[in-house]
Amino acid sequence: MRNKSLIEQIIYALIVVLSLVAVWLVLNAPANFLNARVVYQGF
Amino acid sequence: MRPAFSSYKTALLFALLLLAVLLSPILVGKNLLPPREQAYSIQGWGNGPYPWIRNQIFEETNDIDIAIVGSSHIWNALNTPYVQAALSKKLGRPAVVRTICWGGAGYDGLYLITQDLLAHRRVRLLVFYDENPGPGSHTAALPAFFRFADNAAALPGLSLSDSALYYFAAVVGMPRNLLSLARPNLPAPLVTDRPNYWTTYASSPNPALQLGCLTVGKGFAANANSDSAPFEPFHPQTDAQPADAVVFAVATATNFSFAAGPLPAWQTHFARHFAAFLKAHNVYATMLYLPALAEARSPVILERANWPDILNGATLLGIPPAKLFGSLTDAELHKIYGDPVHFSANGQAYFTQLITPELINLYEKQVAH
Repeated sequence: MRNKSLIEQIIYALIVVLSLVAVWLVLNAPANFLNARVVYQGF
Repeated sequence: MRPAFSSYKTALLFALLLLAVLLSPILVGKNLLPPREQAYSIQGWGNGPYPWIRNQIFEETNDIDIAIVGSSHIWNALNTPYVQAALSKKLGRPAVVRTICWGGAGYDGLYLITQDLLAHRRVRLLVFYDENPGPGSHTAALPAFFRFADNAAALPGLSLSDSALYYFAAVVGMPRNLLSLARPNLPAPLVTDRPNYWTTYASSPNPALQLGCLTVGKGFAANANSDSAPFEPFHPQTDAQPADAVVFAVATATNFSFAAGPLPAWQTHFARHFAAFLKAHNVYATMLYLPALAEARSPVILERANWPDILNGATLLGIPPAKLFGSLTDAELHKIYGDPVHFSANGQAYFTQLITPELINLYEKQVAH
């Protein structure tokens, strides 16, 4: 398996960090933010 | 195992996509957001009478004498046509009273919607109640109402976790905002051939046909999942009088009890912003205490906090529950309430006629003519 270049390592680290931030944002939010049925019901 | 990305270029594209999504509230400035009115146009009736609210904020233009604002507790509690008729009689001119309420308490929603209301209409007296028992009960429609480019100024002072929550609301709402920019939503009609959502759900007249209020024509239900009892018209016979209404002051403090526990920081934060915003717009604010069924025997008005202090001197008005309900039995109380925290049509009629004289009194005392 070839070694990853520095740029590749930075890109993968960025993906990991951004994914962790996204997961934290989701877990930090109340469930009703993501429940489209609640937010947009009753048309 | 196959690599997740076929080349570092696809990995880079994925990283940029993630970055763009997470930064979208910052990247999309005011100029790229649809008009604020679209935050209301995308709402239906079910989470609150948003077509009516949109109409009142963005289409009607006349001054409002009394705006009744807040979540479902106050939406169910006051009969707006009654208050308007009484105020008109007192003033000797047609008064304008409007209920602009929605489902789900949360001081964030109260602040954001009141901001929109006062940006478009002059309000003389704002009567509100937005208390709720849940610490995490943010306004459900926050992804529509909290737009980072519009509302970021409200965030300083919040914890990182709370700030992130509002930022994330802006992320979640972004696809809908961009879609609304590309293809604006038409407002939902106020009156349709089909029965209004609230007529079907709560046996209420269409809120848009009664100045915004909800009059629940269903009997008591212990919770949202249980069946309602059959509705029976009921006119409570008690000794309660309009003079039993009390405004919080040093002399009347024995009628009130404020819990000592801390409030969730975000609630205090937005309550303070709300009060400051009203003050900046010269709007008189009255917080109207509404008892939950569990408080019905309390001799004092129970609140979670010293709201007049938090709300920068706003008036706190209420009727101590023991006086309001007198010797009504539990069975009779169930005819007044539609559920443990909301009045039915019976409770609304009873409470409105008792509290309206003091609301008019406050209007006359506070509002400069």
